[in-house]
This record gives sequence, C-alpha cells and structure tokens, in this order.
Amino acid sequence: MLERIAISAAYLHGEHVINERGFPEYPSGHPLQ
Amino acid sequence: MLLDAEEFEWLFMSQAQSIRLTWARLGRVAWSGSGATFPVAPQEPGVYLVGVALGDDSRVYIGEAANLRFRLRSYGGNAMERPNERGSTTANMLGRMRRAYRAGGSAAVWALKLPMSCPDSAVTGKGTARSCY
Repeated sequence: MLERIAISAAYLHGEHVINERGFPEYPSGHPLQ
Repeated sequence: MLLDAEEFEWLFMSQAQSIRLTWARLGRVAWSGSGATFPVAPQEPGVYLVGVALGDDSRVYIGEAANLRFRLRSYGGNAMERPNERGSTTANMLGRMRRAYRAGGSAAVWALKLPMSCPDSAVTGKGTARSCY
C-alpha cells in the first residue's frame, strides 16, 4: 500500500520509475534501466 | 534527483487533506569495481527508494520490505551483465548497479519516514503494535 502511494508520488513529481511496469520504459540494457 | 540530499519531501495535497512523504537518506551505494554494497538499513519493515543517476539523467526504484536491512543487503554483490527480466527484482537490481557504475553513474538509497503503527509480527512474529517507518 505505502509502496504504491510512494510510486504514485514519484510520478507526480516527475521522476522516472524503473519498477516493473514503470514508465517510461527504456531498453533493458540501458545503464539506468 | 540529487543523490546527496539528506532528506527530501513529496507532498500530496487536496482541498481538505495532505500527505507528506519524507525520505531520509541511508547512504550511497558503494561500488568496488566489480560489485555493489548497499548502505546498512534498520532491521525494520519499510519503504525504500533507490535513486540511480548518470549525468543529468536519473531513475528511481521504490520497494517495500518486511526487513529493510535484509532487502538492501540482498541487492549487493557481483552481478552478471544481462538484460532485465520480469519477476527477477534482485537480479535486475544487481545488474542495474553494474551497468550504471560501469557507465560512470552512481546510486543512493533513502527510507520513507512516515509516522505510523505497524504490527511487531512483521518483524518478530508477535502481535503488539509499535512505531516504525
């Protein structure tokens, strides 16, 4: 539950999230993906 | 994302309510040249954020664990150079650290500070409530 709130907050603050099904999705070999 | 920030906050607001998420820095991920060592976290349940940066670009990974120390420790060590796979969170994190550091990037970890009550059973198997992150 808290994890989902935190992920939602990350999106709202413009962060790129690399959790599974994160957005935006980058190629799996990208250094930060 | 500033990897050196000791603390930062994300605020949710509506007309009547607000939630403030405060992240406290646990430390940088150390890189030996072949493997990563994550900072030592409290042996408590909690939510953590791994920030990975390369130049001006950054990503965050957010996870929840019954024991933060065990979870972060599991992300340390050497890793294979291979693409991410769905469902392989730990192996993906190991590989991500290797790729990021070899490309000149770095990473740091924060824990969510949120006053709350959680069951001791999450840590000890007993049912008494206590304060935790």
